[in-house]
Amino acid sequence: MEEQAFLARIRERLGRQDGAPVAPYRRGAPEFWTGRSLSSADRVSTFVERFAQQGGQAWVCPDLTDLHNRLEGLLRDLAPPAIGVWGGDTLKEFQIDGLLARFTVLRWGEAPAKSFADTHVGITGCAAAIADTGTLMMAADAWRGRSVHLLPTVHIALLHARQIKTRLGEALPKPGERVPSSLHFVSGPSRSSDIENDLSIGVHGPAAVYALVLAGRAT
Amino acid sequence: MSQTGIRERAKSALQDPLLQQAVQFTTDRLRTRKANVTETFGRWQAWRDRGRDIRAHTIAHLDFYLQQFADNVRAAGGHVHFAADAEEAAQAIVDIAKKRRAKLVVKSKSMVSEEIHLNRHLEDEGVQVVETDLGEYIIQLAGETPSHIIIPSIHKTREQIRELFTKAGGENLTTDTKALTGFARRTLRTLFQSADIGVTGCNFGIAESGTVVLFTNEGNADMVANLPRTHVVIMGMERILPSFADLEVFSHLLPKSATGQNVITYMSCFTGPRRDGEADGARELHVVILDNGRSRQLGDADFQDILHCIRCGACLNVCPVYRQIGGHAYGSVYPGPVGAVLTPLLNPGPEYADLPYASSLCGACFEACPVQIPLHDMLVKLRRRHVAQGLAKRGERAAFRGFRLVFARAGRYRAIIRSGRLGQVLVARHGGIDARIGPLRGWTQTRRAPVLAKRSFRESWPGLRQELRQGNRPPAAGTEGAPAHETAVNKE
Ligand code: SF4
Repeated sequence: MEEQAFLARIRERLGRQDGAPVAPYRRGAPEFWTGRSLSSADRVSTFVERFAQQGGQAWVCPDLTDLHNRLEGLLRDLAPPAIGVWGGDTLKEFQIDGLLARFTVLRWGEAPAKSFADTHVGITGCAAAIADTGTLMMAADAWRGRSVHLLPTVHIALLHARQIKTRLGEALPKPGERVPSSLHFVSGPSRSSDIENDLSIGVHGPAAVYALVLAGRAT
Repeated sequence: MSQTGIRERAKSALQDPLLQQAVQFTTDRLRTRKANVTETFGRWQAWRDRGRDIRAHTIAHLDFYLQQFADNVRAAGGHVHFAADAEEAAQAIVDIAKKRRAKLVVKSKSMVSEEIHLNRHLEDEGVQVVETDLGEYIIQLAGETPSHIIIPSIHKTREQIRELFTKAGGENLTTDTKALTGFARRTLRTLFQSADIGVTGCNFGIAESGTVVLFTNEGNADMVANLPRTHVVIMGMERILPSFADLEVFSHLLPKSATGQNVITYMSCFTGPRRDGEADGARELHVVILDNGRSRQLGDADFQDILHCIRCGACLNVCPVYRQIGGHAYGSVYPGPVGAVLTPLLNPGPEYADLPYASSLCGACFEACPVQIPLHDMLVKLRRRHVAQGLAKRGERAAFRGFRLVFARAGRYRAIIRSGRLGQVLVARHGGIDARIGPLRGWTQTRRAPVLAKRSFRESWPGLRQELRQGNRPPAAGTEGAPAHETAVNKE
């Protein structure tokens, strides 16, 4: 159907004039919600707790050395045949290249996108994290492919404590702001209970999600 | 579509103890979880008020927001198709498939795609359509329709699923859940990679940015949307929210109401197709916006509010009638209280005129509804309207009264069931029971409750590792070691 005819039918049913102004309304979450603020320490501890409630696991790392130890430990246990990572400088501040040297690593933007289907672990940063719900926000661009965290069995996200917001509304795009082609809010591993009500994780997306939260400033 | 009335279908459902048990088990679980999560969250009524206000405002200005949404989808590089009815919507998608010479279409759960019979239209053109939600995949392999909207494959035992998967090429499968889901994961992965088109529904369209938002738990919708070259979104025209700020409200209302989850596992926001320099995501995005009787409700003081619905399914879980007869008995895409209102509104005439009688008018649906749609009032008004139009024949009215009496009191109902006299109450007018049931795939994008694993990742890992191996990936040295870190999982 022609667009204007489609819209005209709606307008007519609503008894509105073309170009009639839009009445004001109470937009967004209630004020008691948007007015809350957690201290930065509370944001971190709430995120770690809620992330675990969602079936993920997050650690707070006091410094880069600790973060490296955690990551190394995870990779030692997982022993992934291939690791996918974000490309360019996106993870530079976490200085993980040395640690990844002994693995087969596919970098987004360098290796063909299709090859990420064969990665077992994906290592990414994130655009933001949400304390309230234990959520990672992933925003796509040329160096931050969607497949890096979507396709592998295990997703490991590296982030700074300061990236953790209290609530979703703080991380969502503001009016007029440029919105990435894909914003993906991830709260724990993929799940289904379609077989005799038995929960299974990782039916399509990752079966395990880890977050390493770097406290303080990046060095 | 439905040759029999709801009474006959209800009777058939009532004689299936497995189905009944499954429905009651599931609705109980979802109800309890919702009660818990909303209590912990707090000020639920204030959230419901805000949700209702935003939906009411949006629908009252739908022409404005829909135009804004369409303009912004295009500004982001997407294509918009307006469809007056089911036929037009299906045709728009068939045309896209033809243009792309599509052979394989992968789908994630979408009720609107059922409403327009999309699979049939595509298959008529020789296009293979694969459902990728685990439960729907199982049902599709079996060549059946879902038995339950929340868990479509509830009537399938793991042994039956093993047989279906073995027929579909699975080798040496056990009946272990992990082995079975592992097979589905591997098989569907190859289909995601080779599909020409991915079709998804849409939970919300954000007008200010032209963003399509999906709420899912399995992650299949992300594969469907991101991996094939072309992503087609099919949405009812009322599925709009003005802004991202409003999405924050529904990010709480929807999963908490639907499955009692504090948050959905995946909230995916697509603004146009992939951009320059990006190496994944669909190259082409089409959004098909469907009217199909919805605009008729606008300006109707009695029924406009039904367009506020966010398809959470909470009204089903509390409905004493739904809990007894399950979704099939409604014979329509949309079951439960919302279906009993929406279906006859979208399809006026005698076909579904009996649905508003599938209710005890107890008002539990209104209480449960996150946007406070007065479903019980609407049911009464619909009955009145149908009587005025002469759609309820006298004999049927009498039978409906009996039907209502049965469901009005759970105690009486149970007594009737026990005494096996139900058949005499719900007299099948046409003699036999026509088992034909309407297609009922796909209820809500937000899926069932994740009673999270009591199992830690460490315990799960050996199974996952096996899946990796079976996926023809070379087991590398060292894969034997279990992770030293145990994933904490909640016991909610
Ligand atoms: S009518 Fe039912 S499905 Fe729709 S929003 Fe209300 S409770 Fe949810």
